Amino acid sequence: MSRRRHEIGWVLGLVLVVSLAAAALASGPHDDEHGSGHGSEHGAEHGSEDGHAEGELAVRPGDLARFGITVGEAQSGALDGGVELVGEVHPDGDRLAHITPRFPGIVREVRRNVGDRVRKGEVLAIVESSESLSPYELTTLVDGVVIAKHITRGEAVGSDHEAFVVADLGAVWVDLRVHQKELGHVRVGQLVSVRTAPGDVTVTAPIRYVTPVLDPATRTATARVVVENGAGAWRPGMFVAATVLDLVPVDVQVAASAVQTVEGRPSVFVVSEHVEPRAVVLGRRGRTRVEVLSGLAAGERVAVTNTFLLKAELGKSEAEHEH
Amino acid sequence: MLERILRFSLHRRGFVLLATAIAAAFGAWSLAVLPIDAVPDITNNQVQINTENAALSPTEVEKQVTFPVETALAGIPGLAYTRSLSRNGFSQVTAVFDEGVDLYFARQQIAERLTEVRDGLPDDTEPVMGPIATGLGEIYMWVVRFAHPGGAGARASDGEPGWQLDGSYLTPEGERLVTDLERAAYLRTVQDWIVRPQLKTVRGVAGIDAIGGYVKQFHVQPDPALLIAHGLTFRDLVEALEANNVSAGAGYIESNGEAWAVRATGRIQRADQIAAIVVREVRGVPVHVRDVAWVGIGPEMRTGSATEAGEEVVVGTALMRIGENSRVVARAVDAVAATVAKTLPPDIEMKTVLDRTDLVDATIRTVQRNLVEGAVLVIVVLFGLLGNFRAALLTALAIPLSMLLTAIGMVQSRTSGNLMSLGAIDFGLIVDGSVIIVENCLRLLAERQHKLGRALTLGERLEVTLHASKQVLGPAVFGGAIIITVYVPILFLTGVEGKMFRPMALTVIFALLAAFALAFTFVPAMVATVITGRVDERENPVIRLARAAYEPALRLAMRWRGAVVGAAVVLFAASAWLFTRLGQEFVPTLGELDFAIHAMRIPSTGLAQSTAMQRDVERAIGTVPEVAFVFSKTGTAEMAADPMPPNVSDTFVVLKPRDGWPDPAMTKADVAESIEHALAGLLGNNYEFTQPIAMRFNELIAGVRSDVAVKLFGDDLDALAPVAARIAAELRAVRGADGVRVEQVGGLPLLSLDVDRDALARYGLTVAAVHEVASIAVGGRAAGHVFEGDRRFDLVVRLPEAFRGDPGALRNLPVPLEHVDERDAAASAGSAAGRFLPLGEVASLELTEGPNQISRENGKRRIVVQTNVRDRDLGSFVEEAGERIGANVRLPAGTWLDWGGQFENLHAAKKRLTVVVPLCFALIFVLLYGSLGSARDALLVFSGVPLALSGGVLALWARAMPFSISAAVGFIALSGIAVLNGLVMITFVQQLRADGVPLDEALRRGAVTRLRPVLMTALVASLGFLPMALATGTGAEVQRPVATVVVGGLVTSTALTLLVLPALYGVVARRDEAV
Repeated sequence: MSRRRHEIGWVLGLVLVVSLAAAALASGPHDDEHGSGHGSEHGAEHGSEDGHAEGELAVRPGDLARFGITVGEAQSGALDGGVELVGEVHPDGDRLAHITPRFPGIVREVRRNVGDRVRKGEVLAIVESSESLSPYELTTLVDGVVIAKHITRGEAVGSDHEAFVVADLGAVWVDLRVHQKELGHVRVGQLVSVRTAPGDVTVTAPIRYVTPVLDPATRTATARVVVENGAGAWRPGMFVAATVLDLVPVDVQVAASAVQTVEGRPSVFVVSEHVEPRAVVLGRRGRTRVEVLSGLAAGERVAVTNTFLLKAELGKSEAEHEH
Repeated sequence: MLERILRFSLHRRGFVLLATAIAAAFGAWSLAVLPIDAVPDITNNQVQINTENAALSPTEVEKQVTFPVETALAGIPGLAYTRSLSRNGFSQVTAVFDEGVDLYFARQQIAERLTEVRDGLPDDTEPVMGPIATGLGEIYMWVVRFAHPGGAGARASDGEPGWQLDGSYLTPEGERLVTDLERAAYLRTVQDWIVRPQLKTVRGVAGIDAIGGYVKQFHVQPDPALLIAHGLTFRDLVEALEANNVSAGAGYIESNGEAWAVRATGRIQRADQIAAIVVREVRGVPVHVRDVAWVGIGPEMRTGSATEAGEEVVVGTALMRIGENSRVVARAVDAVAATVAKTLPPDIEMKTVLDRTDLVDATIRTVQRNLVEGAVLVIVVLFGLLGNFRAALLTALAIPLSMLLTAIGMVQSRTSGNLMSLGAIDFGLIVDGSVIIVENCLRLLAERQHKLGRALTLGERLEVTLHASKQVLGPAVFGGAIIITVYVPILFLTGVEGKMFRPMALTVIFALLAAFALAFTFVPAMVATVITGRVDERENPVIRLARAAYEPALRLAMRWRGAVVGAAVVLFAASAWLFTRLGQEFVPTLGELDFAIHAMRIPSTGLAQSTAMQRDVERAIGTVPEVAFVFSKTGTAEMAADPMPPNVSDTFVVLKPRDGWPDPAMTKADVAESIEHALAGLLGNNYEFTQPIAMRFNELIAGVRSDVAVKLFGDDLDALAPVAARIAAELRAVRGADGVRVEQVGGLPLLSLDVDRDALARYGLTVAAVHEVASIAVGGRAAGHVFEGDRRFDLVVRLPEAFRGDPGALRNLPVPLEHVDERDAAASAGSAAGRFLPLGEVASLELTEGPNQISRENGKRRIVVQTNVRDRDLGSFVEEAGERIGANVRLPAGTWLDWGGQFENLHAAKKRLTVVVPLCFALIFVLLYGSLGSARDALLVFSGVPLALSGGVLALWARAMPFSISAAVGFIALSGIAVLNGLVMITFVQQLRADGVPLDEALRRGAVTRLRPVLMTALVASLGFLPMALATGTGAEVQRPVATVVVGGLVTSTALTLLVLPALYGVVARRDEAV
C-alpha cells in the first residue's frame, strides 16, 4: 500500500512543482520530498504488548476453565501404557488330557460327547480289543470338559488314535506373539491386561513364560499368560489383544495431552500465578500418560486438556495468511 | 468549426432536440445494461490450475505434481509468469498472462498442455483449471443448515421425515441420521445434489463452490485386530468390495418376437448390503465385512469446514463468469435460490448470507442520491443567481443527460461502473460549460430586451444566443479541453493502479465530453427555444449583494496588489507545508457494508481444532449488537480458488442495517473496535480485519505486496532458509526498512514413516507392501461408488478415527507376511496372528516438522524476504540494501537473488508519468496560449492552479482526512475549474483592453462583469458536491475526499480568481508596460 501512497504523493508533488514553476511569481523550486512519506498502519502486529514477562502467557489461570482447559498435578507412579500384543487363547497344557486307546480295537460304546463335563476317572468310551482280549474303558485323566472327540461306535481305533481331548478350562493359556523388537519389553512376571478382540472382556494376569526360541517363520516368541476362566468367557481359539503393563513407577509423570511441542521441544504449560510454557525432557510413554525426566517436579500444576490453545496463543503472532 | 456546429444547432433545433432525445434513450438503455459493481475489478489475467492428491506431502506434491504442471505451461504464448504453491495434498499453479491475452485462448492452451502432462502425474491426480471468474466473482453466498440445529425446539414427529422424538433426523430418503457427523454430511448432500445442480445452470454463473459439512462417503472401517484374527488384509477387504459392487450390461435377447435388454445388477445401494459382503470363506464359514469392520456413513478427509453462529453448516458460493453483470447474475441466482429453498427437506433451510445486489444497489443509491441532491442544489443556485427558473432547469438538465451519454461511452468501451468511477464525476464540473453559456446568453438577452423594451422574437433570440455563445465559446472549449487533459495521465497507469483508476478517468472523460457536446448543441438550442418570456435584466438580490461586497474588496485588492499577491504566495507555501503533514493512503477503503476477518492460528493447527476455535470466535462476534450474523470458511473450499491452510478462517461478519444498531451514529470503525474487544478474550487467534471483496482481491492478485522484495531462488529449502534469515537481518539494518518479513516455509507437523530396509529384507516384505498398509489405513482407499439415484458416493476403506488419531496405534497396524504359506502358519501353532507383523517392526514412526508450503516462481523454488520502506525513497533504499547484501551475505552455489516487489512497478509508473505529466501540463499551457494568445496571460491563468490547490489541502487538513487518490482526483478537478474561471475572466479583460479600455478600468470591469459566472461555476461545483462531502452512505468513503477537496478548494480558488488574479494581472501588466 505504501508504495501507492508513495506514487500518488509523487504524482501530486509533480503536479505541484510543475504548476508552481508555471506560475508567474513562483517562489522558486519547491522541495517536495514528502512524497516518500508512508502511512503508519502497517506492522499492526499483535505481539506481547501487554507487559508480560518473556514467554509468559497473557492468560490468567482463573480464565483457563472458560476455554475448557483443565489443570492437573504432575504425579509420581506407574504409567498406564505398554507393549501391545496379539495372541490366541489355548487350553492350559497342564490341565489337558489326550485320551488314547491303550490297544487297537473296535469301539463298542461312546459314553461322553463334546462339551460334556467329566470328572477324573469317568468312563468316556469302551473299546473291545483283540489284544487286551476284553473290552476296556477309556477314562479321563483330568476333571474338565470334553473339547474334542474323534471316536465313533464300531470304529477301529489304533493305539495312536487320539480319541478324546479333555480340558480343564478353569484356567486357560493366552499365548501372545512377541515380535523381535518387543522382546526387551516383555519379561516373565510382568502384568498383562488381556482383552477379547472386540474388547468386551478384560483380565489382568502376569506373564508366566516367554519362549526362549523364536519361531523362524514369523520371528516371534510366545509369551504365555495364564488366565482364570471360571465363567468360561475365555474360549480356546479366541483371538485376543493384550497390553503388557509398565508398572515401574516413575518420579514425575503427566497426562500425554499436557505435552505440546514448543519451538521444537516438548513442553508443558505450568500454571502458578500465571501460565508459562516450560521445556521438559520426556521419558517413557504410557497409553495416556508420559514420564517427565526433567523440567518438572511432582506436585507442580500443569494444563492438561485443550493445551493446544495455549500453544496457539503463544505462537499466534507468527500466525499469518500468506498467499 | 465549433461555430458552424453552434449555428447548425440553433437553426436545426428540432433535429438537435430529437437527436438528444434519441441519444438519451440509448443512454438509458446503456445505463440499464451497464455492469455496475461496487469496486473496479483489479484481478490480473490469470488461470489457476489446482490439483489435489491427499496422499502427498508438500515436497511430494511439488515433485510429482507442481513441477510437471509448471514445466508443461512454459512457453505458452502470452504467459507472463507462473507462480505455484505446494501444500499438503494440494498443488496450485497460477499462470498469469499479459493483459490483452484472451482468457479463453489461454485456457485452451493450458488445457492442451495439461492433457499431455496428465500421464506423468500420480494415479487419481487430475489437474483442473479454476473457474472463469475474477475477484468480483463471488457474488452470492448462502448457508445450508438445519433451522433447529440438533432438533432443539423443532416440531418432532416419529416416522415422518424431519426431526424424530429421539433427536435423530429422518431424511426423505428414509435414512436415519443420528450423529452430528451424519447430519453435517447430509447438509452437504443437500448442497451438492439439490442446490448445486439447479444453481449451476443459471446464466452467467461460472461455477458453484461449496465448503463445509462432509461429502458423504460410505465407510468400511476395519478393526485391525479382527483383520488379524481372520487372517485378512486391508487389500482383501478392498478387493472383496470392488468385486461385489458392479453392474453390467449383457446385450439383449430376442424371445417371442420381443427384444429384451439384459441387465445384470449388483450395485450396492445401502450400507447393510456392504456389511453383508463376504470377504472370505473358510471351511464353509463366510467372513462378512461386518465381522471385521464397522460399516456406515463416514466423513471425507475434508480440507475445509464452514460454520455459522457456532454451528457446522455448508456454505455455497455462486461464482460469476468473467465480464458478466454482477447485479443481473446475482438477481438471477437469488430468484432460483428462492425456488430451490422451497424444495429442501424438512427443517433444512437455505439462507442467503451475502448478495452482491445489496452492495451494488447501495452503490447505485449513493450515486443516485448524489445525482439528485446535486442537481437540486445546482438548480437552486442557478435560479438564485440567474433569477430565471427555466434557465436554471435547462442548465441542470445537462447533468442527467451527460450522465446518460456517459453510460453509452462506458458500455461501448466495456468500462464497468463502480463507486470509484461514477463517484468521481463532479456534476458541478460537468455543467460548467453549460453554465457559462447560459449565463452569457441570459445576460445578453436581458440587455437586448432592455434595449428594445419588449420580448424578443425567435429570430432575435437566435441571433443573441449565437452571439452570446460565441463570446464564451473560447473559454468554454479550452476550459473543457484543459479539464479533460488533466485526467489523461491517469490513463497511463498500468497494473493494479491502472485497473483501479483507468475506468474512473475514462468515465470522467466520457462525462466531460458528453457535457462538452451538450453545451454547444443542446444547451444553446434549448436556450433559444425555451427562454421566451421576459428576462429580468436587473440583477437579483443575491448578485447585487455579492457585487456590493465585491467591488470595494476588489478596489482594495487592486490598491494593495503587492500585499495580496504576497499573501497568496504565503498561503500556498503554508499549504504546501501542510500537505507534507497530511496522512497518506492509496484509496480510501470502500465500506462494503460487511466485515471479513481472517482468524489465523499457528500453522500446525488441524482443521478440527481450527473449526472448534472458529466456533468460539463466531460466538464472541455474535454478541456484538450491531452484528446480524457471522459465518466462516475454514481451510480450503472445493474449488480451491483460495487455497487456505486449515489454520486460517475467513470470517464474514454481516452487519445489521444501520437503523437496527443501538447507536446508529456509530462508524464502522467503532463496530470493528467492539468486535475486536469481544474477541480479545479468546486464546490462540490472530486477526486481520478486511472486507469481503477486498479480501478476495488480495487472494487473487497475491504475490508480493510489499515495497521491496528479495526473492531467493534455489533448490534446497534447508539451505535457503538461513540465507533468507541473513538477508532479513541485513535489510533490517538498512535505514527506512519497516516490517521485514521472511516467508514462512516450515512448521507442518509430519508423522514420518521411515521403513527399515534391513527389517523388510528379513521378513521378505517390499516397501510397497508396507506403504499400502499405511495408505489404506490412514488415507483410506476408494473401493468403488454407491449410487443413490443420481447421487454418487465414494465407498472407502479406512481405519476408524480412534486409531487414526493415535500414532501409537499406527505402530501396531498389521502388515501381512505374504510368503508365510499355510503349512508354515500351521507350524507356528496355527495362529493367524503369526502371519502378520506390526508396522512398527519394519518402520519407525517419527514426529517431525516439515515444509508447510513450498512456493515457486517461474519454475524455481523461492523464499521471499520482503519489507516496506518508510521515510526514504525506494531507489536509494534498494541500492543500499543491495550493497549490504552483496557484501555480507554469501550465497550458496546454485542460489541466486532477484529483486522485486512493488518498487518495480513504481519505477515503471514513475518513468511513464515523468513523461506524461509534464506533457499534459505543456499541453494545457499550449491550450491556454492558444486561447489567450499571450504566454504571460496563459501563465497568469495557470497561477490559479496552485492557489486553488491550497484550499483543497486546507479542507483536507481541517477535516483530518488523509491524502489519497480520491483526493488527487479532486485536486485534478479543482485545477480544471480554477483554470476555467481564470480563463473566463482574463479573456474578458483582454477583450476590454483590446477595445482600448485602460488597464485598471478593464480589470475592474472585467472582474465585476464576470463575478456572476465565476460565482456560479464555483457555487454550482461546490454545492453540487456538498451532499457528497457530507455523505455517510455506502461508498461515501471514496467520494468524500473528492468532494471535500473540491468544496474547500473552490472557496480559495474563487477568492483567488476574484481578488488575486486581477491584482496579479495588475502587477505583471504594469511592469510590462513600464518596460
